[in-house]
Amino acid sequence: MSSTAKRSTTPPHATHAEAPFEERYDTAMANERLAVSLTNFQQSWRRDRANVMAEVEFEQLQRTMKAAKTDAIDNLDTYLDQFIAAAELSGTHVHLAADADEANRIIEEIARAHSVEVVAKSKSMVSEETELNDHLTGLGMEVVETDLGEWIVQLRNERPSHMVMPAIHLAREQVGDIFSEHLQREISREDVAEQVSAARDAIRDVFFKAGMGITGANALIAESGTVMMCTNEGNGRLTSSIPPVHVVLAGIEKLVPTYADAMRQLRLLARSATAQRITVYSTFIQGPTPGHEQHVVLVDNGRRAMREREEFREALHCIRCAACANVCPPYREVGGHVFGYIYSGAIGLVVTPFLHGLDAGAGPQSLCLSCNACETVCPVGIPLPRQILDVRAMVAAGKGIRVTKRIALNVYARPRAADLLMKIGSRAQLPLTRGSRLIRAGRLPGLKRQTSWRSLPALARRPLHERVRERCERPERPGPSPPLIPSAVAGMRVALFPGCMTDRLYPEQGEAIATVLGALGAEMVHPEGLHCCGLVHQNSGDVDHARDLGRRTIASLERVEADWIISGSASCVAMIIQDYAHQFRDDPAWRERAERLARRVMDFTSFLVRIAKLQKGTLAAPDGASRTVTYHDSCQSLNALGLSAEPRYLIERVMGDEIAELPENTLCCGFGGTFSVDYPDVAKRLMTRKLTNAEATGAHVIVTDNQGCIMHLRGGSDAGSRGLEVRHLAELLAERVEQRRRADT
Amino acid sequence: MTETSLAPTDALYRQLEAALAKVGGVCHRAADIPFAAEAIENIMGGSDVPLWTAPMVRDALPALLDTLEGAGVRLRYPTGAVEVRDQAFGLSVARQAIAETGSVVLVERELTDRAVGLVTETHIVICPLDALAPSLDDAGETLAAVAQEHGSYATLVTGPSRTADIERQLTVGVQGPARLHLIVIDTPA
Repeated sequence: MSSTAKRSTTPPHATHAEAPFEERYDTAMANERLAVSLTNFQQSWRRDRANVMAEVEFEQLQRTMKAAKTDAIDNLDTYLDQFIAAAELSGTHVHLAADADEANRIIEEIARAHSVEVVAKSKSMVSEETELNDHLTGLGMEVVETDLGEWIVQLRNERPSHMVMPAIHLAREQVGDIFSEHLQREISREDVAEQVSAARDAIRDVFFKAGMGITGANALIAESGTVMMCTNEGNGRLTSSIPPVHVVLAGIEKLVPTYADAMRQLRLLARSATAQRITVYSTFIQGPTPGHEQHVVLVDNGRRAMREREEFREALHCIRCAACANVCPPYREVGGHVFGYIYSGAIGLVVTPFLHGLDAGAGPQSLCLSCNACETVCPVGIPLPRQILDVRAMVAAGKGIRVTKRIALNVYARPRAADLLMKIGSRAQLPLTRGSRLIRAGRLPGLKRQTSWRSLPALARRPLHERVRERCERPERPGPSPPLIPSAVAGMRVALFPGCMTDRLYPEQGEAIATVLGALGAEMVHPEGLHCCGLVHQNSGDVDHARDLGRRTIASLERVEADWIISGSASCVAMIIQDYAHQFRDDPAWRERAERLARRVMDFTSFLVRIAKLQKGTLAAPDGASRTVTYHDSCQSLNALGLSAEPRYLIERVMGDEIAELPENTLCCGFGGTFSVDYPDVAKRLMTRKLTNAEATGAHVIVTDNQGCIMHLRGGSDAGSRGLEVRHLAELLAERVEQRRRADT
Repeated sequence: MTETSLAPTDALYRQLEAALAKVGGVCHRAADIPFAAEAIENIMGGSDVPLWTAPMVRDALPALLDTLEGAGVRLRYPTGAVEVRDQAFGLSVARQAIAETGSVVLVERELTDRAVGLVTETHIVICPLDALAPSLDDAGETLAAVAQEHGSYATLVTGPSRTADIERQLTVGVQGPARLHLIVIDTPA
């Protein structure tokens, strides 16, 4: 055989010595086309996925699929036994592998028994997990990936950067280059059809000369011992049909009880993965092709350990569609080689510590900015954002928190120390603020990467809680009767939970809420003894402090005699009404207290729509004028609290203003709390994108309901001299109240 | 077939046709065997290359094959995959067609039956009208019944093979056939 003939299919021998996370991060950030490619990909996927998902009842399908997977994982051994018995009855040899090495050795033995020299491979993430290719090529076998994307990354000696679209990090020019180099003839750098055709022809031989075909599995149907495999290119059918030995490599969690469940998975999988109704080939393999041999290798490799951890068990429901990567903002900026280890995207951050160890997972998990977008598209409803924070807590416990961050968290966990520090800071900042409300970009010494692109808000001289206390203690002023604005909350007692950022940075936003509540005729109550809700600590993996602060917050709010406790911070509200129950999952008494409290805590936006039931036009401008603003959906509001229609109702219907919708309104602004301190370059890019999108609407005012976004976007607009105003929705409403009040007198 | 059952079947066919068109496949409707044979001849465009035929079609639709041979179409039956490699035309018979997705359910345990839809360029699939079904749930029931045989290889084929692995740009025709024709026969015997 000539060397060129051999080159036509044999990639260079690959060992995936993975560069350290920091190095991978720097490489990705220096690669300017990466984010461009991934942005195009994410944008088109979002649109196509929405269209194809509109054809089905997503929530209902998600519920039934989740129930099937819950059943399968809860009764894993029952279904495993059922699958094995049925598969063996059909003539398949089933092997159980405890870990990656054992799986590789089993396949090695099968290959040796058949004197296999060439292996055709169809796409299998589990084979990436066990690094099977390295193992077999190390034994002198020629292993060729037959899926186009997998072949491309194999030629480049890379790992797939995406579970479904392995080469999505590459531009066509790079594909043309590697093909030209490998095939030793000129392949177009522009014409994708020519590239596909060249790859197809080069791979074609492999199916016919391979002694073994290895595929993955999308599902293992327990009732019949059937392997379900979905592909578009047809390579999976060729790999499982033509070579005389077929090996299926799959994780034990791929079980589904019945064919009916497999059909549900089909409906969800392609829609979620590639925005198709169904893949071109959905193949159901039960036993070997007559005259051939078939083996199914089922891998544990950390899955059972995951199953034993209640908070991670649902991650085993994953059907590997990668939708979580397709909406992930940091993934867009750094790609799957950084945002993940072998499995990428949100689910990759969750499973990596179990499959590849805490060291492998430590860096990637730190890139999650807790925007919750992944959870909104997961077809099996895995609580990914929460699980990533649980991984973060594991990393913090196992490897510690960076010292500067740890000191800051320790101080901030102590209400009196934090209070004193803020007081001192509000005075010490004068040389930086020069009396303004901002510390202009670049003025903070020593933190250039964090501050050169974003002005920071000045600490307020008097925090909100002191102002509200005063307001409440003022001698009773008889309010107008009936109230200025008709609502369903006149006479109700409403307490305000300020949230740290409002309290210390933006007290005027809290006062705006007080103004609106006053106009509705509600009685304002001031809760005492509040500090931080613990969100910052939770999101930093500092679970002990998060729980301390949670208990303190619960105890303080329990004492409040009010019908409702509201907050202008969607993040704090999501923490209190959603995350506390999880924080206290092993502490029934506190969990019960958290759940009871959650029933009377609500964000300001929802409160005005659902409880106050503000009617159309009740806050219209007295002069009938309408202005145009744009609305930024904060991630916590949109993804955690599910708000979308509510703020738009308030702005457009209640106030009669217009919204020029933000392009990519579902994309995070890049704040992410301490994320923007840890990863300022990613935060800056996302912020720049958001501000540029906002400018494109033609509106000069960005309205939102989250202080983090306000701080981030205001700071960026100021640093970039963009002249965009960023306002809390409450401020707009309060201004309108004042206008109405003036007009009425 | 009664009057009342005609309309729903037509609606099902139209849904199937639309779904298949959406993924680049072509649906034909033939009243009977002679019309189906004519459709196949048209697809082959007068070419005298062989029509690689799954052996199971001999049992399922002997009259169709007789008609084709009578019209001068050269039928060949593969004994394995290699001889079908990159051949122009393959002919299979479907167990069922699914209107929801435009899929055909191919139940082909033997490689000789499967081969004609694996590595040919144009794949022609025949399906009787009464084997049209509305949804993937019906396919699930069919597949579950097939699995009672303890040994089966079934595929829901939905359009010609495709990839979007490079910059998410769609290219039709990769390892599987680049063209898919489905011929639905009203009266297959």
